[in-house]
Amino acid sequence: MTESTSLTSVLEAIASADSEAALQDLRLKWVGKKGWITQQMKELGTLSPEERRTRGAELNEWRQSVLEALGEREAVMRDAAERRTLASESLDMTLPGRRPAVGLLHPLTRMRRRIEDVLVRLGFSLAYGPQVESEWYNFEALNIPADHPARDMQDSFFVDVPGLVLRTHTSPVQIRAMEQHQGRLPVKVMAPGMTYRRDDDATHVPMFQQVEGLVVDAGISLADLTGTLTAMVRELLGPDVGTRFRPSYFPFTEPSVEMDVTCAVCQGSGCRVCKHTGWVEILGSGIVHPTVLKNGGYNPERVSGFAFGMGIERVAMRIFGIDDLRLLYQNDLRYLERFQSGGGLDIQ
Amino acid sequence: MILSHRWLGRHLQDMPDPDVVVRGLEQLGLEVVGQSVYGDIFDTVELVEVISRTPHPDADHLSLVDVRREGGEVTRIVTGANNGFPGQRLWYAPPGTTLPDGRTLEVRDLRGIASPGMLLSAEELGYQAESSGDLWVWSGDEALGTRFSSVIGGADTLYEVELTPNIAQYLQSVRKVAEELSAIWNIPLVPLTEAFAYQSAPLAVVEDRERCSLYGVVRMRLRPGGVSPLWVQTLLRAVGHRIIHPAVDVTNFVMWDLGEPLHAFDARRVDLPIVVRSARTGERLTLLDGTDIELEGKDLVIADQHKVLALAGIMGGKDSGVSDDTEEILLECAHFEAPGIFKSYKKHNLLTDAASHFGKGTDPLAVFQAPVLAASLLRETQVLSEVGDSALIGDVPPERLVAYDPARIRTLMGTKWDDAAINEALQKMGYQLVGPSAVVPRHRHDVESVYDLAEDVGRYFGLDSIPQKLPVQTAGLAERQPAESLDEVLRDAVAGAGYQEVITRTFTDPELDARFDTGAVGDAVAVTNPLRDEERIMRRYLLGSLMEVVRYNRSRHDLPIRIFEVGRVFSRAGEEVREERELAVVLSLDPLSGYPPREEPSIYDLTGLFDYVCERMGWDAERRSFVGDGPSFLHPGRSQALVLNGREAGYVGELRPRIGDLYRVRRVGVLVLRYPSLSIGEVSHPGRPSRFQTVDRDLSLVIPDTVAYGAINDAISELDIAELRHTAPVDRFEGDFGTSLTIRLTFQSDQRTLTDVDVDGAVSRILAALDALGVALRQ
Repeated sequence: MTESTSLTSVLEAIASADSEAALQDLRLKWVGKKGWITQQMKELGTLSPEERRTRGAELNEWRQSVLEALGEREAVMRDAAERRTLASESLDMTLPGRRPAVGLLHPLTRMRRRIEDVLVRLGFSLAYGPQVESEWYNFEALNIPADHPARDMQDSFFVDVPGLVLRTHTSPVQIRAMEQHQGRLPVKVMAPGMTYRRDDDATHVPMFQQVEGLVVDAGISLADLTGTLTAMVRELLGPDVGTRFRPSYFPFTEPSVEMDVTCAVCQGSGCRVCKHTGWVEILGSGIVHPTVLKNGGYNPERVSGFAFGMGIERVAMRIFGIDDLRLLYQNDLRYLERFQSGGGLDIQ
Repeated sequence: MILSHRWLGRHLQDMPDPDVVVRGLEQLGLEVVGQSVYGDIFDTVELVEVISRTPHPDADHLSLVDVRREGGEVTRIVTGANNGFPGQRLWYAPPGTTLPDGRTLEVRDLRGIASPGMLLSAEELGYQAESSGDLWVWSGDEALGTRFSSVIGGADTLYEVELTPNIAQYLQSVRKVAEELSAIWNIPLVPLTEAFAYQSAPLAVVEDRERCSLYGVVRMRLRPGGVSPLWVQTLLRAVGHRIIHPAVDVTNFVMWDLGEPLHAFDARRVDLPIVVRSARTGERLTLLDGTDIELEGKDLVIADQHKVLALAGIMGGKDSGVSDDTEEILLECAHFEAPGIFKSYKKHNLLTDAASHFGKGTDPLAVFQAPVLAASLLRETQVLSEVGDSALIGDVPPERLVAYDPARIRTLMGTKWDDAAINEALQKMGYQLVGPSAVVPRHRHDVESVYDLAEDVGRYFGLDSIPQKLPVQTAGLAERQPAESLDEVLRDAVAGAGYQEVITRTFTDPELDARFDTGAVGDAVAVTNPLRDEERIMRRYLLGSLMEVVRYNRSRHDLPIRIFEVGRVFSRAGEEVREERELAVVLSLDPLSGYPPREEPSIYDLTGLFDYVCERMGWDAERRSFVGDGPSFLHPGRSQALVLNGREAGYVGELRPRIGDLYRVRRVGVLVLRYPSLSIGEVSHPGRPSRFQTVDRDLSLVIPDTVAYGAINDAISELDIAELRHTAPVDRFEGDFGTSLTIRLTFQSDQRTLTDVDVDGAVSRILAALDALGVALRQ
């Protein structure tokens, strides 16, 4: 801004500077320590007070304008540089993401826990028994003597240790639990676990999981059984599921009752899956047979009980919509990966 | 059991619709697992009349038969039958008809002449007829065009019901089912005929009264060549029986109708009197189906004076059965003790219809009804010419009483039914009530106590009519079991670390199990009746099962394997079976393909997993070298023993590549830990975090080849420097000077900021300790 250079041309020069260096030169030339405006301001002392005021105001204004222009230009150049860098760093964001390496629990473990959760909330404690069980606990104590036709119902696996069998149901835990309670009341237990029967097709596998339930107390009735099971099943399968109870037969309960729920496929209108009945069986249950109470150390004249046994796979098949039980035990990892959601406590 | 709607209708005066029947059956505990229709395939089979019969121009054995059909239409059919003459009325199946044997008829070319469909014999319809030729000549006066389905009464609904063992003890009979339906529906029953009056002719002797409490024999003279009534044949066909001979048909009919299996002996083949006795050792019998069986003392047999005629209650002998020329039968009506028959048919594997009835339980009173029904059926088509002499040996078993208390039934069922309602329910279900007792109907072998009475009252009213409630108890908190809760925490920890849980079968192949034998457990428990050879023992180790999962997956997909199982393993010490808990983890170590790239799996993932899991469980655990050789299936240079509570409890390492090869995975890491059920860990006590800065020192060390990192770490740990919070390797490389390992030492005090002097002092002590191992700072 020699007398021959206008402020406008300086500002234009700044606005058109095309590099950091050119901008730095302009800064030094005009507002640096030895820059023209800085020098001019140092010379203000030589002027009269009147001129000093006018000239000072003018120089300040010029300085301000130049600094602002420099700042603006710097920002523009910084943005441009950043844009160039970012552009060079772009990635193909459509590539598959790196999923976290989190393992899944087997769907049947999740289903078992879900059932356990419902039953714990209903006040059932957990109880367990061995998988290789004595014939006494598996059969005799449950009112299934040798040569009883009911032994035909459960084709058993036997082992080479006399008197032992792979348990055909979780019901032996009924006796074990009663023994452990030693006559105390109430007995209110569930027993999840592996069970074995010599069957292998789409709806039966030789090793499968059951959850047993047992309640023994004074005055326990069939109404308690139907009420408890209805509450449990609605909690598991949803409040709208239809339920019904039918007389059935198990040697260790009398009366014995099977519980049906409305078919998940047709919602009760009848289809191939439910053999056009609209219903599918979900569990077996009943009032504990007096012989079983006696074998557990309880007096059937004073107390009564109910018991039930439910296949965990059956509930899983319904909830996950599977029609072949064997798939759950094939351990095909690609298949197991598909059970990402639901089945645990998270299911609605 | 197949129940026919029409057959039920023989006993119930007013049959409701099939939907109602299904609900009624299920209320009674007869689960209806299927429904079908009998007779609808006969909807197209029509009555026609022959108007002419001429020889086939090109075939001697064929004839051209013109028949008049409904409305006068004439159809020409080629037939090889020896009858079908003008004026005869026949059954004609046009093209499209499916016959009972499954054939679907069409227009066939027979030696150059088109023949649409077929003229039918009785056999082709599944029936027997008294007809002198091949084709069924119909003698009825129905109009032309009448369908065969209508002469047999139209289509019949069939219910396939599942019989539970208790119900099979008394309800394998249309009459008994009808009685229970009549009770719950309040529909009258068709009354039974009067009981048969047995004579006491010397026809039979019962040696074993325990096992045969009633034995009746009735002599009947028959007209050979007769057939059973059409309606009887229809009902038997509907429930799946073949039509054989009127004397046999009648036994089948009575078996299903009254639940009483009868047996007809050809009187010519029996040297009277019949003897009901135990078999003698070595006796043999050729059964009706031709099988020859060896009998033993526990078998009850029907014999005559010279030979065994039948295996009692199960199957008759071939030599004494009826045949087409039989003119006189001895009809057996008996009541056998069920468990004996059950054992016999199980032993000989002969689950015949008779065995299924007698082996589970029959009604002794049916012994008196059966001959009356049989005779009336045989008389209907003039097959029976005379009822001859008869005999009944034994007594009707006495009635049983069970204690009865309506209040107890109310308590068991949780209802408010009053005494009158409960009394009425039981009476309708066939009980007589006498004070504090109920008289059990003789056929109810299943009833033992008031519990059974409660069940019958429940069946009478329907279980869904019982108002539901939740038991209200003063129970404590529901409890979990610590050992099983531990399994669950372990599952969560390993799954959370990125491993998929699998659940494998506990039975396995002995060879596969032996492959991973560490010698730590006893013998295997063998399954004596496995479904498959490769499932004949209970596994002693989990790893074999997991490796089968590896094989299964690797033969289908090329994918990294990260799996685990927390499960039971089994072994025995003499007669004692041990069930223990094991964790097994398998990680494939092949380089991962794919983009974006991932960190390569390494055996250090598994050693790290062990350290993490033990910390997570609060277990006192460590990894260390094997004492002696490690398991032979492990890579000796890449494996370690796992120690829990001071005891060796498993291993971690790579499988020898030649073992991995067997499973289509060359490099595979495994971790197996057998943990005691009560290895509940310490709870973490994290204290308070320090507010002072940490100081890191990196030491680049030159280490001899023989010194492992563990030795350096141990040497530093032994100094027990309170402020040394963490030691970790951060770099390693090989140079011309040997192996360099850089370790990072992290110091921190809870009381103050550490100075260089503090840290230098500690580092000097550490270097001095390492010097003893031959480890020095790299210059």
